[in-house]
Amino acid sequence: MKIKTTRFGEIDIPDDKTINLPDGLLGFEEAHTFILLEHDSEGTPFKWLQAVDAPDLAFIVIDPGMVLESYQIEFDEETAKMVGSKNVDSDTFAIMSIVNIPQDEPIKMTVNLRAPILVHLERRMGWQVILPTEEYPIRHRIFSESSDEQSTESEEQKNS
Amino acid sequence: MLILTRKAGQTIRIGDDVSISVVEIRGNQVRLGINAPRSVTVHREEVYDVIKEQQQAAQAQPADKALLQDLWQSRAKAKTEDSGGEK
Repeated sequence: MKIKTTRFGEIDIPDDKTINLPDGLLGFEEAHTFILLEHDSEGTPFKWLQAVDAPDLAFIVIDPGMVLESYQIEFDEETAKMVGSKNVDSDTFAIMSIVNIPQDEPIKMTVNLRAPILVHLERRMGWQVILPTEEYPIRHRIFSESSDEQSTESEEQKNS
Repeated sequence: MLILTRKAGQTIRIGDDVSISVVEIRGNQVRLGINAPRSVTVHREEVYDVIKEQQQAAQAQPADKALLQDLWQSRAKAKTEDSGGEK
């Protein structure tokens, strides 16, 4: 089916690839249908989570395991019931986390490790869950802080 | 706002499906137990608010393919250099 998007224009997507978020996303509880696009980010693990019914609504997401190898989540009973499984194995679920890119300093982009979006691949359903522990931050730097110096240097070189 | 005073071990019932119990009081911290159906989301307010604001900012980002590709390539490069890898 064809959907309108602000960033990518009108695109054609397979009907069976949409993801249904019954509870929407935090702050966007009324947005239920999404599609994952790799449209604009080839060669990177970033993808776009695009709302099907709201052309403007899209998020950059990434598999948190790509950013933090040790990332592991466990469910409580309630969440397990909701998502229909006790385990987050990668055959059953895709996990994606929302990325924030500060406009002025994109190298300082962060990923929200505290509130991942779990997608049940077969059921094509997803939920954003807030993890109960404080172990993972809401803003985790994707690129290490040492790369801050590098980007400043190259800025200076550009300006000189 | 309805203000009630409870002791440890006491409960507040909201509607038919939600109850909040004071599990323990220790110093200036209150441990609360919450019973609510799955359809009612329960969060620490400050966490929910922070994430909500962050996501509202996130969804306003424009697409910038070159930026994402550049940044990711440079990270891959930095990683190789860190581990003293060959080019």
